[in-house]
Amino acid sequence: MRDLDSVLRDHERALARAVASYSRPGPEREELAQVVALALVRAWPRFRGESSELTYLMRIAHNCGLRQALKRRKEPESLGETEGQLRSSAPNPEEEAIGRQAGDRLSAAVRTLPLASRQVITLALEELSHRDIADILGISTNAVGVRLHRARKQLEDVLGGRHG
Amino acid sequence: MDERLRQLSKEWKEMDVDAIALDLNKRVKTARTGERYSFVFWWTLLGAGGLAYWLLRMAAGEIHPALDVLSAAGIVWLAGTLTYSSRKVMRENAEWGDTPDQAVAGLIRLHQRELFWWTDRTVLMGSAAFVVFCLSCYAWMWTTGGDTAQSTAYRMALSLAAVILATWLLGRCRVKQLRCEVKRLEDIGEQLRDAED
Repeated sequence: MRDLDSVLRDHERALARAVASYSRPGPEREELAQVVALALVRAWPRFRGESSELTYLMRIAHNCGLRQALKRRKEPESLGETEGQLRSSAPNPEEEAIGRQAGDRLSAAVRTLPLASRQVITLALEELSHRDIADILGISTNAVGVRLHRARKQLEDVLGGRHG
Repeated sequence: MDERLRQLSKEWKEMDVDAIALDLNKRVKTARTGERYSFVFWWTLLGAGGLAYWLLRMAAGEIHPALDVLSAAGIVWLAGTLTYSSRKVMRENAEWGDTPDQAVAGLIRLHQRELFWWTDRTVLMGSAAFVVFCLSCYAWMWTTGGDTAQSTAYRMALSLAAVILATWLLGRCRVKQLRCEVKRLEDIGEQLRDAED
């Protein structure tokens, strides 16, 4: 089994994108990144090679992200706020500074989706197969297809709304 | 994968993750160090040290009534820290290996198990354990001439009252918190199941 450092060198960016899909820029994202890092340190020794390294790491990152998203639901609605920022003609300075890249705008759009759609679209954007996505989320490949179809429509609506 | 999804995927992968300071490699190194010297480790050390100090003072017959209450609170703290730590490990183990809906179901089970202990057994068992513990300490002090019967009874009652009150208050808060958490998790579980349809 490879050591975590070398595995991370290969998959760090994919993990970072997964973190970005669950958290807004700033302290929220910093916190989630730290939680994911700690979970990786603890969970990696238990990797038994039953799935690919990326699948295992993604499942950990998504479970951490899901947990944080569920925790945030206790707080005032954050998704609406993100959507508001997306559609605003005058983004805040933080969003403006880091949101110039197309990927960042897409990330903000992904964060407005319901959790189930967000998970599946994030993994599909990483170009994982339906089978791998099903393995990470613990659902059937058919359910992946259905969720992905729905998620794409929702994403196009949000992206369309942004430009509209 | 169709053209539109491929285009979005390209856009997605162009996200500047460096600009948002997500240096996971560095964070992993920090986490490793943190693991070695965790919060639980230090608190356990502190609790064990406090307990040892108290036992030494008691053996030397120098104990002060205020120390009784403090040490009793220390023992509760130590037990709580250890319980929390083991529960956290159980919870995280469940989360890492599980799919999201299994993780939610696992969390509900853990909460319900804890709820059962808080509501049905913990307070009783905790109080009983402290009664036995305090009785043996004071009986020992009294028989070895470390204290008078009257002050022993007074201090014993004070310590026990403090411990039972603290346990009861803690239990009430935790039960309330757990019930809310279970309700919220059940809603989430339902949402995850609905998403399957």
